[in-house]
Amino acid sequence: MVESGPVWSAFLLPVVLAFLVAYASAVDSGSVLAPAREAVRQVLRQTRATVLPDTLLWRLGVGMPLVAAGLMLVVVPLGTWSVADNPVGVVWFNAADVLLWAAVWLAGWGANTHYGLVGGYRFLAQALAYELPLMFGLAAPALASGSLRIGAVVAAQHGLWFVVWQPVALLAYLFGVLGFSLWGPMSYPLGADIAGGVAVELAGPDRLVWQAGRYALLAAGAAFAVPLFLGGGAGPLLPAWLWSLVKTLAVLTALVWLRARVPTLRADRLAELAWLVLVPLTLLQLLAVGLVEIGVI
Amino acid sequence: MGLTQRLVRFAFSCPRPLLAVAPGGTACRLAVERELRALGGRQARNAAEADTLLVCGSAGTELSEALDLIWSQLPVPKARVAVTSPEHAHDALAEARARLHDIHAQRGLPVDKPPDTAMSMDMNMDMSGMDMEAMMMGPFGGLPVARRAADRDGLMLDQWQLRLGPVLPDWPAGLVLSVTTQGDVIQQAEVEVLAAAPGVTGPSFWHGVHGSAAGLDGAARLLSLAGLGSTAARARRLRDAIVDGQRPAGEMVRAVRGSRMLRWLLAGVGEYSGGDAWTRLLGLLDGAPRPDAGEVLAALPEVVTGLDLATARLAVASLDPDLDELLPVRSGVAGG
Repeated sequence: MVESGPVWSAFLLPVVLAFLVAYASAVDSGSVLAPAREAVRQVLRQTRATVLPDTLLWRLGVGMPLVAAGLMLVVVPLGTWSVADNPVGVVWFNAADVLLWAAVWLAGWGANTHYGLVGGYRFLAQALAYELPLMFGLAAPALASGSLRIGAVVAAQHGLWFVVWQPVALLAYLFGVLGFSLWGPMSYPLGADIAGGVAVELAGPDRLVWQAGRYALLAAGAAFAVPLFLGGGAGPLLPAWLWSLVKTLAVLTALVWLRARVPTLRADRLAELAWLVLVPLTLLQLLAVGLVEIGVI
Repeated sequence: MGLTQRLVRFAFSCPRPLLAVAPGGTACRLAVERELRALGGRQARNAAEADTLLVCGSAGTELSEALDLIWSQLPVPKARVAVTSPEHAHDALAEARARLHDIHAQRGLPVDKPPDTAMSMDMNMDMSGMDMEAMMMGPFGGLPVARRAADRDGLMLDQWQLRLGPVLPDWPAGLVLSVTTQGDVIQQAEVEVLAAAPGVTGPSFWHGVHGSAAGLDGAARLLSLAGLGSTAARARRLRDAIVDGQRPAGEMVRAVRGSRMLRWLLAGVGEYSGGDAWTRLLGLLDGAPRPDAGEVLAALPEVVTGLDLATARLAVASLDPDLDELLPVRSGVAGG
């Protein structure tokens, strides 16, 4: 049902991403003009220079989140078309989010400041916690549909969306999305207690790219949840692409809304939560899915 | 009006200030926070984010030096304003905005650049004749190489010297904590209290105000550090209402007490005289009597040693020493 689009659809990708980033930014600040205002503001500002930074790696780290988000969106279908519906779409998404392990640490280390480095290591501690639940959460729909291709996962939800009988997988997945976007409860690497952590020395266009990258990761994560758990473009009345968009915006709004309403999880507590609660639960979820697949349940 | 001017006005319609609170500047800080809330703006968390350096109260010599350094590090366009009395908060923010919109003045500001590091590369070549002491002072741009020391497990790790304060968001005004850290674990801490500007006297602003307002102020800082920005904003609104003379109901305490996640996160953090950050947070919200600032400062190094930076910040925020209590009180003045 989901097909790869023509080559020119790749040029639509930045447009869709820009729209989603603007939407997320507008919801976050509560004003429609806020994305434009923030963008112009950062473009007009001077960038920071620190003593002996590793400029190439620093800039690479700051720019990679946006690139990773774009890569994630490549396999996400809008209705029945995606830019590239490759046979390992689920793993492709996971590979793109693993890029962030390097990106965030480099962004923190590259500036050669205390707080940046502390923030970078905080991210590694956090990533060790969310990555396994995220991977198990991604494995559940793949297991249920018998394929890693997103088109097959969407097709397998004809009749019953995966969110109904795999809620734990969806929660673990959203937990992972918050984790790699450094958002809300998972904003420990960007903590106010270390004056912004990884982002402590980012000003001007650097900051714009970094902030846009965070919103873009949230948006890509929200968009990917739709074909994986929420039935893709399925729904009455409206065309498939509009349903995809509406569902994406709903998930994105919910994620953005979490920001100042849930306390920030410090890495030591987060590790407890992830390894003692989430990993066993997601493994049980996978077991349940497996049993359903072989017909026992 | 040219395009650049239009864009600047659009982009900098509300200043994003980095607040530097001087000893004795509590009233000014409260006024500025109120103004900022009315404008719909928010504070910056660091110098890179900020476009305005806003000094609340009168800064003494040490603080002024720190402020000059921070001012040189703020990215252009930037503005620097001082609020010396609460009534001037509105005008100060308006002045900051006007300065940010003034393109000609902004273009004239000196641009900050890091020190020239080309010379340091030559020092690398001839190391044979140097003794150990000289080697400690860089080839790295003149910065000292990190010393190594044993950590709590006996491993030799790099040690950093950090100064927490004086200009740090959600940090008690006038406090400077010089810490030696390995990684982000604090191994040693030393408390310094900034000298107030001449003419700044006690008693503390909170003396004349209903008890729970001071507690709400401290609780707002702690909640903000814990990540609960919206709850912190509610606490600040309640604090302002109490300072204005109203007596709002205590539903905040119930709301925070019910948050099991916050309790799990704060339990056991910063143990001091039988309480931890969670019990102290509830005490702050209740308006319970607070320990003497001098005692807290004396105990602070011990409380903070061995904690990592995150828990140390939470511990200090929950202890919330009011350094204005240490200001000299002018004799013969009743009630300040």
